Amino acid sequence: MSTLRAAVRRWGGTAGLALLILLVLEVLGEWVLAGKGIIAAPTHVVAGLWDDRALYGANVPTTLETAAKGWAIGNAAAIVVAGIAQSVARTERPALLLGLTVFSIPGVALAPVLEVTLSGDAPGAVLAGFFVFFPTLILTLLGLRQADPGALLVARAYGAGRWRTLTKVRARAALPGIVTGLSLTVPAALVGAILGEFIGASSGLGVMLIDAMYGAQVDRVWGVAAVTTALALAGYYLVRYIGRLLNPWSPPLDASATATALDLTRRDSRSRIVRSVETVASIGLILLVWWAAIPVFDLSTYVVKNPADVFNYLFVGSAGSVVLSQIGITLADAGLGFCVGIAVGWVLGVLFVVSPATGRAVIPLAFIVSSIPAIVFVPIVTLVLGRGRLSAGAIAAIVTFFPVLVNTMFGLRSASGDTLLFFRAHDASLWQTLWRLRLPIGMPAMLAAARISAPLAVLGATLAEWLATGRGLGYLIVTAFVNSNYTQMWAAAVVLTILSILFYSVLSAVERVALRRLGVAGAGSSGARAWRTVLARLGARRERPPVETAQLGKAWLEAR
Amino acid sequence: MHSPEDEAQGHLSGGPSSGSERSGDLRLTRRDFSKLALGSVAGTIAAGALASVGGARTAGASTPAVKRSLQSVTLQTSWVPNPEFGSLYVAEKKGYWTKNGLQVTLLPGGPNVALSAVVASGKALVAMDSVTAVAEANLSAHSQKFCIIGAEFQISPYAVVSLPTKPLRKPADLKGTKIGVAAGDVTSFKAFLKINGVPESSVTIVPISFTTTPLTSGQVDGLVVFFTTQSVSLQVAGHKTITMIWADFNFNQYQHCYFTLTSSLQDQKEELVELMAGVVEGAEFYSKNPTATISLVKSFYESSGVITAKGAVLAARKYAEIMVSHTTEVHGLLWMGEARQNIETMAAAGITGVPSSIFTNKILEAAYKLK
Repeated sequence: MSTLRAAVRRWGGTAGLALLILLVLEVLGEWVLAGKGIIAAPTHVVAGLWDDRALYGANVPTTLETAAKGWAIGNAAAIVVAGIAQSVARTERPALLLGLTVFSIPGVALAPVLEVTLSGDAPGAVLAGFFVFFPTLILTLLGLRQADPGALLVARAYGAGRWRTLTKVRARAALPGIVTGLSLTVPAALVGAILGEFIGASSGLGVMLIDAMYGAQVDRVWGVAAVTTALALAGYYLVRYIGRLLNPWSPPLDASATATALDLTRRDSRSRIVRSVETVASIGLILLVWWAAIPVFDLSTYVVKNPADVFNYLFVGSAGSVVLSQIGITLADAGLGFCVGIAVGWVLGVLFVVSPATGRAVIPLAFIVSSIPAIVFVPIVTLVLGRGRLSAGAIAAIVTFFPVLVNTMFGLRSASGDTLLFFRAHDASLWQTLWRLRLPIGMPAMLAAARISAPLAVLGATLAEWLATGRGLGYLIVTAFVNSNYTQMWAAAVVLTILSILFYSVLSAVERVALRRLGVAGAGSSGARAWRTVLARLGARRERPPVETAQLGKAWLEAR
Repeated sequence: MHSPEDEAQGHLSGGPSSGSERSGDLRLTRRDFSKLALGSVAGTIAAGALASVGGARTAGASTPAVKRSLQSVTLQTSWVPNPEFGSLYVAEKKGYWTKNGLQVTLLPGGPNVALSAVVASGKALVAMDSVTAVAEANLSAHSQKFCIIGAEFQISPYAVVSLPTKPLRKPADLKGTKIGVAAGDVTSFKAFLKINGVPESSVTIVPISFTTTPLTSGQVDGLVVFFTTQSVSLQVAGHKTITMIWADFNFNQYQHCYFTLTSSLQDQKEELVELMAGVVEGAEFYSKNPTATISLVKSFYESSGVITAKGAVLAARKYAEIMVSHTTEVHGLLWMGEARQNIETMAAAGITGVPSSIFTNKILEAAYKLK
């Protein structure tokens, strides 16, 4: 009975909210927007799913197989690269830059290259692998780095080198991060596999989606979206469950763990010059790989252009101005989406931490929304907001907000029980606790979330430009593609990738300055750091806590 | 086999004053399609019988071919499997290729398929696209890299589809409207406007992907579609639509152009000839027996489930119509006798200086002899 009551308390809010949303959709789909082909009434979707059960039975396995391959390839590559970056000196910066580049390349531009190089469902699998690589790379590196200093010291004292330390200590510590990466990347792998089917396939969920959209079958469009989302959620929870069986003593990092994700321009003890040289060398390495890959893999030079081709197109002669003139539009679209996405993510994050009940109810639904393929919700957005910058911003924001939300909550919640107790003992109000404790402690995670969302905002904006506004680099890349103008397509893709990385780097710099100003160095959530933050904040205001309370706090700290 | 769908078809097209029907009638009178339509009904019945023995014949045909080792080539289609590629499916199913010693792999396409890239890289010997797309690819390559060796759809399937609330029946109706156009169709749409004297500035072009939602939701007044596919699926989904077929308004452009590398014309002539011989034979069967073709080839595309039997037959009949022109009646299917008109149409879209040598009937000539 009490478990039932607990379940109701845990899931009641979510269920209620979900019912409300379904009801609204039903009313919209059945009456208000009936026959417009935008929203399918949930009852029709369910009936359609039942009618089409044999169809799904035939098509789901194809997509799942491709997604699974891509998921395995991308994650394996990410874990290996993370291992190398951790154990071989000077490889971390190139590894991160590579990951960020892979994450920022628009899929539309990547597709033809994979298509002419690979056959069968391999292009889809590799595309899925590309989508998966960066998040897992970051989370694994983070996990590797979070190894217990004591254990590392012991290992080192017994003569373990970098490799032994990696396998014996760090790999163990990285497990939660890896499990988080493996679970979080399930939806991305599915989207990659579906996009792969858009390149050419004879069965699969992507093919069903194409046919349903082409054939004005709105119920089935929503059915495919629902099935895709359900598969993403099932995969996510399955991987987490397996992770818990493998590693029962330590839970996965919260979905958020990207929060503390690594900074490309991370400060370290080395001089600025050494770091700059490293960055330049990393960029050089990526260019070299790009250049060398064409002859080595015998890639078609009709499709794959080398760095010199792109440079010449952009800066020698007048053709490049077509691409360069679109930068402003895409930056504005992405910038708007980024700002809105960040604002929504931050505000909701704060709200859900202040009112955990609301958070418990809304977050599962937010996760579901963030797993819906974008191509399905774009028509709804354009109906409401038109086809201008507002729509572009909204679509970019939808793509961006969820990671920000989760990371913000993770950050705000990382205030330890001790510090919270300390505040309660001081009879601090909710507002004071938020302002003086949670926000300063959560700030690193919130800023890191903003930084990581930058490439997402750019990708979201290009998607909107293709599907809604018809201008900017996102549309140009598609036009170049349909006109077989591959030099232009590569130029646009390279410009977009550079924009993403610059956007990321600028935010990185802003983040460092902001954190220094706030007196919170580096991201993290250990109890001791939280205390330092509290004391620093209190000290800055020259308000010393009453002796007794300070002693109480100290006692708490020591007892831990 | 055909009666229920035929009834449905009769019912649908017999609807009062549907625009598509109206222009369909125009086309019938103009091109004397009534004879053809009658022929195809008769053919349908005969084909039903043929289809049932087709399997046995295929097996028989392929036996001697297997003895000498089969040449294998790849053909890239432009979209996910659907009745549009009926000719190819017939050719495969009936062994039109294997009897000449050719093993053909059909690669499925999709919205993001890079057709010219697949041919350029050698992954496929031949792919299909519009004339404009092939010309654009040559422009980007700064040479006549690709050549068109056969045009399956002699009459452009392009159309603007609209709803009865704001019917767009003739080009002048487009003034002051918002039209949804996919990125790949923008050039052709601009040519259509130019040819009909509609200023480009008077029409708002709204980018779409490949969904019909912008029309049904009222975000645009019309959509650029193939009247063979989206118009049909909108009808089947229960929408009343008005279809303005571009070919009725002086838009002359081939579609479904089989193209290959210019260098392959010599290097792989034998394979190309054998390939096109099968395509021509498949197209002949398809154009004469659209309904029978659908029942013969549905296994090629039915896995994604959306194309209903009714929709497939409706579409198949339209494809059968546009495969035939005055030229093909004289020379045979896929023959390209209107290079000049095609080039003029492209010029209207600003793609100028396309040489007529982009079309070559050499392969077809040899293919007809082989067949």
